[in-house]
Amino acid sequence: MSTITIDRIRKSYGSYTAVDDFSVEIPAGTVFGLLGPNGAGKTTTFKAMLGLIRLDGGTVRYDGEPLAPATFERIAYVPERSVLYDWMTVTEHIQMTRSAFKGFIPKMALELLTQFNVDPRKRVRQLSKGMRTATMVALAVARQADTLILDEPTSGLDPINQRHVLNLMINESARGATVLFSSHQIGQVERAAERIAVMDRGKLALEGTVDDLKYGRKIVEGIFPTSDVSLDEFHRDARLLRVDRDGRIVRLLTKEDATAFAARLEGMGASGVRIVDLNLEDIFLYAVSPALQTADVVEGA
Amino acid sequence: MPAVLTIDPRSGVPIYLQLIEQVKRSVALGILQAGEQLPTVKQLALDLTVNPNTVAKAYRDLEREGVIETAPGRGSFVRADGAEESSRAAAGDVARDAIERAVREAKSVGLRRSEVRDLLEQALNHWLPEEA
Amino acid sequence: MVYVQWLRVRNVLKCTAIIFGCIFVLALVLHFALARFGSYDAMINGISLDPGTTTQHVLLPDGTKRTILYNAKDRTHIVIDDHGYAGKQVTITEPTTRQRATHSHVTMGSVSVISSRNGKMATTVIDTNAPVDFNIYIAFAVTVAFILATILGAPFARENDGHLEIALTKPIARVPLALQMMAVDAIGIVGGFVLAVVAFIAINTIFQVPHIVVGRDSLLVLASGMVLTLAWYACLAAASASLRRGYGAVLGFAWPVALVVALLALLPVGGSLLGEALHGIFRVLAFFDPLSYASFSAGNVSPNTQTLSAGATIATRLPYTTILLILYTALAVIQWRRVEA
Repeated sequence: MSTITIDRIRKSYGSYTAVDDFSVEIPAGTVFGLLGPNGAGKTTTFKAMLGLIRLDGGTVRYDGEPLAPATFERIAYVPERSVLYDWMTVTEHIQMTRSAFKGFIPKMALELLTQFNVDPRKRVRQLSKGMRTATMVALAVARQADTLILDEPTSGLDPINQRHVLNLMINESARGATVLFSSHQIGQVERAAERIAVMDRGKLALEGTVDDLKYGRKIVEGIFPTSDVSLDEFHRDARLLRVDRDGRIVRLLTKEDATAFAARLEGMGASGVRIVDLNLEDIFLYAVSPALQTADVVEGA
Repeated sequence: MPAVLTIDPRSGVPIYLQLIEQVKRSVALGILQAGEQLPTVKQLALDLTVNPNTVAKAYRDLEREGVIETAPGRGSFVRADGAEESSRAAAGDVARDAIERAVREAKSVGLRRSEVRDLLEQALNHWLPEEA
Repeated sequence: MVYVQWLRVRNVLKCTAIIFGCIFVLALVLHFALARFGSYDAMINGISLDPGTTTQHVLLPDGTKRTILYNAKDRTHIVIDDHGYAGKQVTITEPTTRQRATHSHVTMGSVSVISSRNGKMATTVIDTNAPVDFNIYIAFAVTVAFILATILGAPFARENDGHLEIALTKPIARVPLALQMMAVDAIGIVGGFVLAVVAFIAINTIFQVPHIVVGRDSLLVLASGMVLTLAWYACLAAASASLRRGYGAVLGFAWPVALVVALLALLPVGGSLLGEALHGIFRVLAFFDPLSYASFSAGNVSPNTQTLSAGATIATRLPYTTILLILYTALAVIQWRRVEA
């Protein structure tokens, strides 16, 4: 179990800034989801956490200590694409992992591979993309490490195996491990993650626990008799992320206190006031695409 | 394990709240009997594919509200003593939530208080007529 | 930690063993197929056909079949000793018809030809199974080791090509890991050398009893040959340590480029200032080129044999190649320390 502290990390490739002053703390023992559009900097962040790239600035610490060779004994990593050796068999990969790490349980790896329907006698080049991902996940989980870092661990997998990977992550968390993963499947993140952070264009766009975010963020909608009601008080309110007006319809995207805002709208003379729940996908989309209208969510609800 | 415990991760309602409501509903409907053991946090998390801490939070809240009790080392159980009150209270919670949602819904489409009362009366007459 | 490297080396050695196995079988087949042509009796019949030649067959106590041919008119006396599997010796005594060196000794592999002169008669002794210096075996085996060193020569590039996320997330620092990888390859190269020696002796045994002489300098020849090969390996490793994809080209072009550098250092392109400058540049480059320390003599390999162009002998190249080995190992490891996934 390690607390991972990412403190103001920066990485640029030439003129392209991949990660820009990104900070987040991943508490020990949580399942932490890292979300973000493609190119947001998630994979770069993972690589920086594992010393695979050099940072331009900032630090990553595990329980307060910087990354050292011994730390890798406690970290299991599943990268985004297959890094297995095409010419070796899956069994040989098990041998390789066993020779490099002390806590590795070959029997568990074989059981997991069977559950994923991977034949360990096959060479990696004979495996499909999904099976290669499954192999990497199996090897990582059989490490029984303190910290599990997975970059898109369900890509290429069929729905049954996707659910299986999720369950493995949940199991690891129940065992007390810290699980950090990134995924484009918001539904998966919603289920498995306790806390999330959203990255967009290298920066932190949003952070919090899934429950708090879903509990607090609502759209409050009201229909006014005229379309020229003053909304100044709402624009000044720090609790509101967005204030939209569409003719006589006013929609407020709030971080908290939705019922209070509903009452306020009614007090101002609005009718048909309703509070719309937001799921994690909606919350994510708002965090990364300013162009998204509240109407897109409400009408789709 | 009652199969009636399901959650919808895509809904805007936090999963732990959904779980709390589902357990209360099961108790009210008698699917979960007094004294019956609930699945462990880990087991339920795996069965539903949700975060274990979410389940733990739900169980903690249910215990605080007196619906279940947790004996360390033995597990979580629907409260046996006061099962009548707890299930009625649980049922009451479920019903109250439903009625409140109905009233808010009616209000949001613009019905006035008297119209809503009429609707309530109609529903009562239809579904829960006065004892003769 | 270096399980994968062991697997790679094992696969290369397996291939090498299979190739030697095939060569062995081929030699066996050729030996039996061509036995008729090189047979002793056919040779005798060919010579005895000359008119005026007397032929005498004797069987010596140790089993040697001796044939004595004498032609009184030519005053040529030929003794052919067939030791069977142990080899053949032919002694030819004939009147010398021209002035030539009174003594010469030419060796090619296990065949030696010794000529000497006594007044008007010249004696030539041809021995098919003369003692062979073990240094020759060492030289051939070093060549095989050189090939293996080239095949194994890009250990880091192979990891850079999409495997760094596995290779660099182990509980070992990069420098010890890099050194361990190179050490595994080094063991493989030495193992390949041993395999080659065994294979050459085995192939030799098909044709005649191996008659090997291990001299006191063999150890030096062996050691300096091995260090040279490992320096070559380290040079390739350093050249490819930062590459991801193009390492095949580096390994493929390494031989020709190194050879050209070594040869250009030899050519006296003197005369013009530019020529002198170029020659000087290539002499300096040759110092850093492991291939210029190789020796390509076909005859006896001794500590005094000159190397290709580095201005050293087999005896004196050991310190230079050791320096190169350390230098290139350090260059390779330093580069890999800084590689990013």
